[in-house]
Amino acid sequence: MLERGPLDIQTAAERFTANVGRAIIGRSEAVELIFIALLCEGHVLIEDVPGLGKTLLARATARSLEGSFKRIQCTPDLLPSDVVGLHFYNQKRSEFEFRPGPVVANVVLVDEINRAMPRTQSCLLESMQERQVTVDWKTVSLPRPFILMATQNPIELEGTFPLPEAQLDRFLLKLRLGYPSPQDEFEVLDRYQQENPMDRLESVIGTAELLELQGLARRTRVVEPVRSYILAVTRATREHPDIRLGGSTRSALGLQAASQAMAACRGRDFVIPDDVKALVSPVLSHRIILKTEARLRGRTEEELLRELLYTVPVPAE
Amino acid sequence: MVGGLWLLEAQAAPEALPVPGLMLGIPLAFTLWRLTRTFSPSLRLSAGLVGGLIWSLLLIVLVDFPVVAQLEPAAVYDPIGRLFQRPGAPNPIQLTALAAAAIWVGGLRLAAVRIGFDQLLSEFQFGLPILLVIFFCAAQWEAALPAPAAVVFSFFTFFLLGMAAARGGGWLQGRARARWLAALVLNAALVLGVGLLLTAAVTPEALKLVLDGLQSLWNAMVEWIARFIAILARLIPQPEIKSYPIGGGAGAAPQDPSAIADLLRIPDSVRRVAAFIVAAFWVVLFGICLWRMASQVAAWLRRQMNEFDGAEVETLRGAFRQDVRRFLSRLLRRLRGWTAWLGYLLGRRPMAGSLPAEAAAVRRVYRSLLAWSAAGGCPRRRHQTPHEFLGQLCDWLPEARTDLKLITEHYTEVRYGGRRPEAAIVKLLESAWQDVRHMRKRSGIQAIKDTLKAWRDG
Repeated sequence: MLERGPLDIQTAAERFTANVGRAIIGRSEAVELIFIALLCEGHVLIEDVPGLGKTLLARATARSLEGSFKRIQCTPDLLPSDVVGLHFYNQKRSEFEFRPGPVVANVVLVDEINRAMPRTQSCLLESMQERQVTVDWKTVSLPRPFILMATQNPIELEGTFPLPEAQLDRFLLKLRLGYPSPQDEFEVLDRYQQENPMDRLESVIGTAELLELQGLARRTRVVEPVRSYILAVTRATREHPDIRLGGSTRSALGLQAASQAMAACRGRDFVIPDDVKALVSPVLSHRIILKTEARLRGRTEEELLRELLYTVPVPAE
Repeated sequence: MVGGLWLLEAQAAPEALPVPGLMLGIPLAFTLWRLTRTFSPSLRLSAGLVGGLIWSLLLIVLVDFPVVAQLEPAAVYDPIGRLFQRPGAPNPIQLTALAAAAIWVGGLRLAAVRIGFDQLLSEFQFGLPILLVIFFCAAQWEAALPAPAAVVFSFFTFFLLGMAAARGGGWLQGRARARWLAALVLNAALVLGVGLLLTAAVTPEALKLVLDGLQSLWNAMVEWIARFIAILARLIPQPEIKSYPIGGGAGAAPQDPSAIADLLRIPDSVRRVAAFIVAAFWVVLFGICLWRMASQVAAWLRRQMNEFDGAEVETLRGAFRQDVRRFLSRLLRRLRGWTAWLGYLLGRRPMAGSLPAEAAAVRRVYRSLLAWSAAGGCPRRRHQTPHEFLGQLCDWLPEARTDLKLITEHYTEVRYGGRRPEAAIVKLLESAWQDVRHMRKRSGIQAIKDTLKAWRDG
């Protein structure tokens, strides 16, 4: 436990952003979204081309939190037992013992998740949703908070297995980092010239503190019109002619929880429609499936969601 | 509205309704609502109600006794007495009062509505079925409307001109406004000219000619089908006709055929209702088909537009179904509000969902700001959040940035945070709102002064 006084969410968010920002330059929006996911105890999928700092961002996040951190490097020959653990026979004690896998940790980084086989990907479902793993006859609860951060590369599709919808739906947010601006890229070269800033990162939020902050975030007020707005946006994804599969009820719940966390991060104790709008794309873009003809026309999920927000009236006078 | 009044007049009170006089209510209500825009909402509503009441009474008195010199107390009391006459069918006075009230409400609504592209389109969507329903009822009741072509023509002309003006509002204020204005006038003239030509060309004789042609075509088709069936029938072998002995069994006594016919006869009233229902069903089905086809065409056009680089595709507010649903839900909410208000007045139960006075005041200030900015050419779009709209407002009125921000922040806290502001905050906001209004007036005057100065300087 870190020696500190009680934290409020806004201060914690600033401290976390500043700490991660020492290693990750010019990604303040992505870092804020990751902190929102931490406050909701939601899982994050980071998707982008290689070399933009996906894994570094996940590692910097894990380093900023106190608690256990494990990393799983996914490959086609990775087995479920390599992830969740296994029972082995202890000859000295003449009994089976459970050896937990790397998923039993507070922060788990699943690198290149789409390189794992579907059966290995599926073994993460239980841990992501129910925060427990079942191996043979034994069910083990995962430590709290439990946050899974996965990365994937959307370009190299050879030797990969696309994530099933059931698994995508379990990720609270999907982030795309994009290329940094020239100034930020210059700053990266400058800062990494002498040393690796990752080595000097320290944990700024303890696990107990994070659990407390999660409780505080859940108390953020969501008035009925804003809740109706969240539902209207989710329902609109189901009725859009270019969308084959719209947002689920879990996505509406995720949007509400993430909006609460964002409001709390910005020092408010109530959610406003701006919070919802800002989070629609990260929360819903990986949960909807476009129709083939829409995809062939070059439409993207983000673009459709942006367009869809123009059709849903905001609750105001 | 004119169509509705004519239908009412033709069906319920032949040549008794003063249709032109009634229509005068629209500009009167419009002007009154616009003149009272500086009043508080409750005072404004009261002024609208009182104005409507006075106008309705004046109209029925003047209609009953058109000569002003004859207006004596007895002459005034008599029509008012007949207004509350109960037995029998509604008399012309009651119908006049009813129509006057409806027209007055229509005028108030016209003054309160925010005119814009999507709003006009939505009004058109509702107006067209109403017009169709009026003509359908007129046809069913065999009521002769005085000038249906003029009504339809005016409806479409106003719609097209309104759409053109709403869409080209920005252009009409730009540098090339003379060209755009000329284009608008030319378009309007073209629409009017084509409309007049169509009205002149589509005469009853021409229609009869077309219908006769269609009838002949139909008869020819039926004849050919009959011939074809006859040819097919000849190919089928004829059955042998067998004769049976007469009076073979002891059956029941045959009934009187006229009694059976009486049992099977459908009363005329039922037949008329059934005919009306069937016709209405086909009209609705036809309307739905047309609407679906129009939606598909619109969707296809939209997809095509999306593929053009740099094309501006505007998201419409909603299709007819969504608009009807929204309208009904709004109506339901309003009814609930009235029920709660009635209950509150009768002291039976507290008003459900009533806001604290301070919160209501903050929301009223924001509503006034929205109405005022919309009237000044900066309306809030339905998809904009208060903070997004704040950016637009600040661009529109940069000198009032601080006040606008203050009003928006407090409104947000009240609306989404459920806060109850202090009385001092409410006063501060009201004062900020007054500052914003005066600032706009000052900046308008300043702009005129600057223009004049620039003109003088050459």
